[in-house]
Amino acid sequence: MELNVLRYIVLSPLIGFLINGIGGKRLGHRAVGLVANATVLISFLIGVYAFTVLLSMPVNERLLTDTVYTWISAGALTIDVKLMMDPLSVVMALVVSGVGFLIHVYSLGYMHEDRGYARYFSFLNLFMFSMLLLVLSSNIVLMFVGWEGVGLCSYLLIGFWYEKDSAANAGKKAFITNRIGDYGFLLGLFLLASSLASKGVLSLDFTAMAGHVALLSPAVLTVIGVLLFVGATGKSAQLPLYVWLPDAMEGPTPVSALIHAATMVTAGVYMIARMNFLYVLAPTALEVVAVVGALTALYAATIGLVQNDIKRVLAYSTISQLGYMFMGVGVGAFSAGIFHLMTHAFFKALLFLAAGSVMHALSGEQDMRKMGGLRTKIPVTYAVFLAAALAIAGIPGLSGFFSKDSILAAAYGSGHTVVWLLGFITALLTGLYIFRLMSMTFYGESRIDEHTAHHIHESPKVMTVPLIILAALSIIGGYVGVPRLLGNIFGWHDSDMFVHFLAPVFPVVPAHKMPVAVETWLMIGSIAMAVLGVFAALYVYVTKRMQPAKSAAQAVPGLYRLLLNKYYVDELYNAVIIRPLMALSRSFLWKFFDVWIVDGTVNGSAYVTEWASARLRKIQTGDFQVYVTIFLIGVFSVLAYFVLR
Amino acid sequence: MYEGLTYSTTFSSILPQVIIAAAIVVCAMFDAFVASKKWLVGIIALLGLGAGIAASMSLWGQNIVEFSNMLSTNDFSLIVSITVMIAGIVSVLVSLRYVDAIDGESGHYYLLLLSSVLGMLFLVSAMNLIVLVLSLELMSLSVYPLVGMTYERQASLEGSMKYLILGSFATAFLLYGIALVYSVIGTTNMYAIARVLASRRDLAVNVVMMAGIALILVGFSFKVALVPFHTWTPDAYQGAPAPVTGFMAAAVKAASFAAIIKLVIVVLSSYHVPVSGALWWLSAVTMFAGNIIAVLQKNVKRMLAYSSIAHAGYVVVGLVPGSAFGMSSAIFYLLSYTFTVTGAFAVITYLEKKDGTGNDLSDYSGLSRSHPVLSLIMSVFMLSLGGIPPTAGFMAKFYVFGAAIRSGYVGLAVFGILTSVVSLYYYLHVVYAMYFEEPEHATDVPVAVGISTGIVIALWGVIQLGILPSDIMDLAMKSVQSLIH
Repeated sequence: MELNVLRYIVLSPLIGFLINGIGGKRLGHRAVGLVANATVLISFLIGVYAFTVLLSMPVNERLLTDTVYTWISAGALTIDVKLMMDPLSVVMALVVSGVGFLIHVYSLGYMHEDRGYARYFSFLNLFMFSMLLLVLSSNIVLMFVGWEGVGLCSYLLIGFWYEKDSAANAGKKAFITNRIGDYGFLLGLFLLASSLASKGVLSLDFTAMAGHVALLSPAVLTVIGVLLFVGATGKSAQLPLYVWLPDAMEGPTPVSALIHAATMVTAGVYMIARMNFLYVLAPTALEVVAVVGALTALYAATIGLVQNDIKRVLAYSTISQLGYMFMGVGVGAFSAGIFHLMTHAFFKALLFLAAGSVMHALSGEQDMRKMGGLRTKIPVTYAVFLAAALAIAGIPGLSGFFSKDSILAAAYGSGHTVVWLLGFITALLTGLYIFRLMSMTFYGESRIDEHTAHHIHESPKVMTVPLIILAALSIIGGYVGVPRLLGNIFGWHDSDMFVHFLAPVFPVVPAHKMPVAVETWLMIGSIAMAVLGVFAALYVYVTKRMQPAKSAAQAVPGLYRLLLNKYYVDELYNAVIIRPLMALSRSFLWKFFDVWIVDGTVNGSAYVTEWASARLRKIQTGDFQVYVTIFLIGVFSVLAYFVLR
Repeated sequence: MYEGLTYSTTFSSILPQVIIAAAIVVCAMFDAFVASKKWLVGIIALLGLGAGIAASMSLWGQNIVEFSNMLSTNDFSLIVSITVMIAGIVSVLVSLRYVDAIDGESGHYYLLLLSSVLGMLFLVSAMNLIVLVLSLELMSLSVYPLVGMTYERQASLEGSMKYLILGSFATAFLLYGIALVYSVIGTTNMYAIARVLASRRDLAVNVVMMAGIALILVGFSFKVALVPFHTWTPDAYQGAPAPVTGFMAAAVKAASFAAIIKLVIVVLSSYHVPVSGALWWLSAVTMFAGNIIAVLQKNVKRMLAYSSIAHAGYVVVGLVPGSAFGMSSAIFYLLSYTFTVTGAFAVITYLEKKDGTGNDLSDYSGLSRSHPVLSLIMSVFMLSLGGIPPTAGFMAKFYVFGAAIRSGYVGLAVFGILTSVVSLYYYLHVVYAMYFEEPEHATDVPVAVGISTGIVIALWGVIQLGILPSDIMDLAMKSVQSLIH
């Protein structure tokens, strides 16, 4: 069904961007904030409206489209600027605009005193535009536009405080790493387009492609699937291209929450879910996705265990959780992956925003070794932080539990035992690192220096209200997808509504019938892991007041240093890729090629042009006889050309 | 060829022309009897042009040959008519303040502008060589005095005189060419000439016929300012009031090019090769000389005069292949250039002072400090002239070079692209001056509603054609098809 308001979901933040981008400082804080927030709220409300329209339609016809115009028309190939909304994209659009709106509101308080207030909000709106375009576009080319757009905004916002060298460098690192991933994505896109064209399919619409990819050979599909996934590893910070995300924490904290936790980094997961019709035909590619996801989940969680910067712990946690999502889609449980994407958006956005609130209270302090005992001093922040921490740890009853459990169950059920085991161990580590963070920040004795302690204050309402809403979502957000096993216990027989809602989008996978006993034990197992992690952390850090870092450094110094230095991956990339490139660039490309060849050509041609210009200009004397003479020369030349040719 | 077409003797098919003629009469009346409020004449001119556009649109899709086969109304004539009337509207809007500064004579200004438009409308629908010359002269004779409108300035008068004398010179060649063709074929009807050319192979080597066509080409090359028939352009463009310069660069050029396109499609399709070769050379020389000389200009108006010469060269690139796609791309180019150049001259009008100064590059230094919006808009126009996406200028160049490459004229396309790289130098020079140089003196421009409206229309066109080119390109294709049938 055609629903023409869809375009306004995307356009509204773009208008906000234009107003704030052009109006800028002259508008004043109040107007800038109003425009930025209102435009995102409008997107969200239209999204809700479209959602109700979608719900009112028969289950198998739930598809809304909005063709804005024909963008490219090259021979038989036409690419439209066309939006579509099906159950998958409506979930994404609502999460993006809803969480996005809360973060916009929070930013009003957080960025209040920043000089670049208007610039900040215009970038944030531009990001919302790109992200909504990404999730609502109906063809892969338009999706790539959004994909690149969010990358650009990410770069601009990471480097928002560009006076700081570290921020500027982090921005560059994110951009370059993403370009490497995008290179893979583009190759995959081109291969997809050309191999489809060779079969006579000249459309890159998702719906059209879904009907035709079966024409391609499994080998080609596998290559395409892996190449597209390379793009996803860049955008969604998976091994081996995850290195930019921890550094991205240089940006303002709401940006970390919005872009580097809740929305943009999940684009890779969304892309694979969106291209599910291709991936189910390329099981090998899907296997790669699952394994990379599982490895990343475990790998990042281990690093998260020893970081001391509160935002960096959360950054590695994000990488780890994204690994879970890839694990989910990789084992074919697309709705479980998207479910975790949604719950993660709630509790991870909350974790970041609450961490921002902690930093706000501590005059910008990010080192957890200089925190502690904040529980009573900033009670609201503490309460919401606790909710989010319990959710991410996977404590039963909170949102993270339901979604993580669906992923692990699906992994085990589909026979990916190793993948499941990696995820299972990660569940323990998740509880550990997040309650290590809680302990170091909120419990125990205060290690805050006097001066800072003097200024501790709870954040203003404009910041805490979004936190409370997100906390509520983190707690109850999982009840849309309660596993049937649990639902049955409470007599709620179609409790996994989320899966049902998304079912029309995803291929029917033969149900992995697991005996109820196995499923029950799996669930009990993961609950045990989560609880164990949480209590171990609390025991070590709060009850015993141990300093495991110190003892670990003494007991296994090698391992500790390895983790603390993040497995030396940055150093490795530096030595193997960056240094040799720089050397080549400096000696050959710059000193020889650039200076001699490029500059020489440019300067030379400029010189020749000016020389010719000076000569030719002399002809235009203003003398009328000269004009007539030139005219006559022209007449005779044309005559001669025609008559004598 | 035209047997199957509709015949009638009503005036409905030339409704746009009738409306403009009526507007001229009303303007003349107002000018004569309402002495105080000259701007009212401008409003009437605007209404007339708007009604003319509406009438042209209502005729869209029809193909009517009337008045003893002398006039033909078809999609081609209509799309060019609409183009020149848009240029007319923007020019009138931009002139509203300017004209008040011309003492006592302001009413004539709109009168002349409208009669020039009338000439153009007849020019694009003329199917007879004599009508073609007559309407060309109606157009030109109205523009000569417009150039000299600010006659207290020597440059204005001088430009006007040079244009007049050289223009008469060119018309003489055009008429002589037509006479030569007539002496061989025995008719001045374009369809009839085409049939004779198609049936008589011996004419392909007939020297008199060749010379006739060569001279007709010379006549039109003068009007669109192809090198080496361009010498009048810098003086006339610089001397004329800025709105008039914009009008000349857009409308006069578009209408004259339409005449060339019509001649090539209707008459010369069987004479394809020699015309194409001549156009190849004219295009290459024009792109080269226009862009190179513009590089060192310090006066923005004069620079845009050379730029306009260069742009004529790009339009010809679209004509060289002789293909329907090439012709359509040329029409698209003309429309895109119309929006861009009228917009650029509207900005120039804002800054031009009464004595004709205020046009030097140094007057644009640091403009972004005092007038950020105006500078931004001027930058968009400059980027469009230079052919940078997402502006109309980019799509226009994309289409004409694409057409050339499709038909195998790769060399010409590469040469054209190289010259357009050179052109970036001087377009970006304006942007550079506005944003990166220190202001030499304070510039204070009072806001004028008319000029701003004109700028908004032009800006809309530049962006619309840059982002959504395919609709307009479809219209251009249809218009070319209407000439072929």
